[in-house]
Order: sequence, then structure tokens, then C-alpha cells
Amino acid sequence: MERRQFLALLAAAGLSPLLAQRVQATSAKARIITVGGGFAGATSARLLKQLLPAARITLIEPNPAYVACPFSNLMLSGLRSLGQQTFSYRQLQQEGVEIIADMALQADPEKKRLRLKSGKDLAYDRLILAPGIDIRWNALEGYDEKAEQKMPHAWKAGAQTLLLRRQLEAMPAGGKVLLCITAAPFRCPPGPYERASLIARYLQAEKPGSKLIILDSNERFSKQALFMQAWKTLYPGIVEWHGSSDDGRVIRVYPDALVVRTDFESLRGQVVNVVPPQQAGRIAIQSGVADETGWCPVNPLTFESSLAPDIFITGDATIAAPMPKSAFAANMQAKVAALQLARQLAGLEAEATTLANTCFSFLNAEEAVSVSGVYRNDDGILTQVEGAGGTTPLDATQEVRQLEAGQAASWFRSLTHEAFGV
Amino acid sequence: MLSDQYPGLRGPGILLTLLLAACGPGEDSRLTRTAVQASACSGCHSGAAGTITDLGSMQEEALAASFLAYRNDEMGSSVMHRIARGYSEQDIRAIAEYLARED
Repeated sequence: MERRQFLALLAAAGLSPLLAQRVQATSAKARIITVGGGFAGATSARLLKQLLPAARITLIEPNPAYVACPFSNLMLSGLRSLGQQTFSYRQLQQEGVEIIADMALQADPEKKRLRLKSGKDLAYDRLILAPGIDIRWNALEGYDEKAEQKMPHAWKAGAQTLLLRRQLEAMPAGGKVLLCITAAPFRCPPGPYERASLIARYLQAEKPGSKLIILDSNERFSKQALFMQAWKTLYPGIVEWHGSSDDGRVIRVYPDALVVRTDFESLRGQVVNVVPPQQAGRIAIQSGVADETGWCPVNPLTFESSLAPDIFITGDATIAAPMPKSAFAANMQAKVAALQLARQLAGLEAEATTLANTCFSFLNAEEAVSVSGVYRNDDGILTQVEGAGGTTPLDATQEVRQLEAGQAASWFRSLTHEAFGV
Repeated sequence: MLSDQYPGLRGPGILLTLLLAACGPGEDSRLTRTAVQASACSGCHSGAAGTITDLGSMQEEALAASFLAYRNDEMGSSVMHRIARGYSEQDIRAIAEYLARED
């Protein structure tokens, strides 16, 4: 819209041009930079461009496309391709989001500047960090950067997922797969157990006589009763779970030998998948917005950093329990942050709201189960609304689980649609 | 697109709406508490046709009635039953009104 037209519109509406100019100027000069093009980052960049069309909205992301983690476990069972998991930033660009293919290294909250790997140094008015997770190399003894080629984590979807798939295809019938799970918190709480289900499905169909041994540093996990029931009924004799009190805690790995050690035993697998210790993406650590846990404390009303001004943090990098580190929660937090940021620029106070989460996990090709939660963010803390949320009932019929698999497909389309505009 | 959920955002008139609201006694309707609450819905309900209901075509009364029915059905255990129990009747009516108006 032309400025003249715009002022005429305002005049027609009875607003003083002076006031109008001031408001327009605030929005127009704002430069908002989002770091990270996953579910949180892409969602917030798109929504901010829509809320503040005159502002300069920039997304910094080194990769040309995003490979979605939700549904990536289906790839391990041969039920989904990498292409179906991959999303470009073309639509964001068309909507006026500036995309910079670069790696953001460090923010300086005092100077409000962001340093990129290319050497560029960008000024911002508000920064949104959505860096996801990084692996804490060597936090599990023996699991360093090189180890991921022998014992893939596949906890960032893409090449790692394909590698794990190839290893499963190459293993002999009657072999042993080890799935080693770090102690919570980690990205996608039900993810390791969905993975166990889908690997078991593959073993059952293609590698008769094989076993999947889960070595878990946790005693309790997301949708536990539902997964345990599914392993017993769908994959009898295939899945064996050891919790932390049953010598499930892996304390050392030997990637070349494909051996892992627990407190009392050493085990060798033909395939070893490690869900390793994690922390907030590197930029958060480098910028001083992560605390001693490696994750980022935030104001639950706005998702602003508790440790630095004018920086919002959304998605897996945050400390937002009882909200899980899920794609849905990332998308939800990104929307809350964008709306609260827009309120801030309009001179409005933050308002408490209700947040929600829903995650689906597949048990096989046709059946899924879900967990939901509803949260409040008043009183300076995120709390679960009592009486709401919960999982698919344990006694749900097969039809219900099939219906939830259908809902999962809609859910995936919806989330990727919101984030990437496809 | 997000603008399917926030269709009021399209076109130049929108900025005017924003400013009118921001400058006037009320607030921009897209930035209210209800708008933030309603943004949860689009996580599941913004996709193209599928198993999950498209809210875009629903009228306010139908939206409120359906949402409230989920909330008040104590035996229900679907995802939407579990979610709906987290909202007050007042919130549900406000969200329904908001979603219907924005469409």
C-alpha cells in the first residue's frame, strides 16, 4: 500500500496522521530475526510476516530444506521416503520472509547483534532463537562425532535416518538390534518407543528370529502402558525392554565394536541405535541463554529468555516442562511468541493464555496412539490443566488406534502446512 | 497457509484494522488472549482435507456446540475430548466466536 493511500485510509477512519505515522514507523523499522528453520522457527517467521507486514522478517538457516522428525521413524520400517519428510523454504520466501542460508553463531544481547558463520554481523530489534537440539558428544562415554557413523542416533532426521535404515536392511536374520536411550529430557519423549515399535515391525516382517533390546536410562516413559501392550501383542518375543532399575542404563559405548556397556554387562548388536544426551542448539549455549542444564529458561507468558533481553526462545531448546519437546509444542510456542512479540511492538502487555500439545506415535503401519496436554501460563509458570489431556485408553479398540493413525496423518499435514506453507 | 487460520491478515485493509484496533480503545483482534488461545487449534486443524475436521467452514454456533459437547462428554476419550476438558465454557464460546469471525 502506498503511504498516501494508507494515510487517507486512516484519515477516513478518523485517526490523526501523526499517531498513524508513529505506529506505522514502529512496525516498519522493526527487524526481527529468527534463527532455525524447523517447526518453531518457520512457524514464527511466517506468522510474524503476516502480523507485521511492514517489518523486516529474516530467517537464518544453513540447510536449503528441513527434514521433519515426526513420522521419520516410519522410514525405518520402509513406510515413508525422505522426500515425504523434506520441506523447502520457498513459500516463506514468497510470503516476504527473507531467508539467509547461513549458520548463526552467536548473539550479543547487549548490542543486539547476531554474528553469522560467513562473517556477517546483523543488527536486530528482536531475536527469536529456535535452534532445536544438539548432541552432547562424549556425555555418554565413547559417543563422539565419529560414533554417529557406526552407531547412528537418527535423532535429527535425514542422512542419519537413512543410515540406520541401511544398517537394519543389511543385518542378518536372527540378529540383535540395541536401542540405547538416554535419561530425560530429550527431544520427542515418546519417539524412542515409537521407533522401537517400527523397528520391531520391520524385524518381524523381514528379519525372522531377530530381537530388539531396549536399554533405557529411564524407568518411566511417555505412553508407557500403551507401548508395552503393543510390544507384547504385536511383536511377541521380539522386543525386550530394560529400564534403569533392570540394568538398562548404558554407561559406555564402543562404536567400532558395536558394543555397549551397562553397569553389569557388555552387549553387542548387529545394529546399535543411540538416542544420546542432548542440549539446546549451539547458538543458545554460545549466546548465554542456556543455563547449567544446557537448556533455555524462558518467561512462560511470552517465551522471552529469562537470561537476556529481546530474545525469544521456542521449541525443543526451551525449558517448558510440562510441555514436551515436540513439533506440536514448538509450533504452539512459536505462535504464542510471535503474537506476544507483536503485542509488545504495539505497546500492549503480555497476556496469559492456554496452550496445548498433541503427539501421535505409530505402533505399526495402520495403528497409532496419542498423548495430549493442555497448559496454562499464568502465575509465571507453565502448568498442566488438571483433568485435561492424557493418552489413548489402554483398552481402545483396534478401530480407535486406526482412527488415530488417520488423525496423525492430518496432524502432520497441518503442522507442516503451518510451518512451511505447503 | 497460516492466513487460512488468520484470513483477516490478507490485503491492505488489514493493516488499517490492526492500527484502528491498536490506536482505539480496543485491541487488535488478532492479538487478544482469545486469538492466542485459538492459535492452538490450527496445529491440527489447518491441513487440507483429512480425518481431522476443517474448522474453516463452520459457523460460530456449530463450533461452540461441538467443542462444548466434547468438553461435557465425560466418557469420551478421543484427542479432542482430552483437549476440550482444559478449556472453560467461556473460553470455548470466545474461541468459537473468534474462529468463525476470522473465517
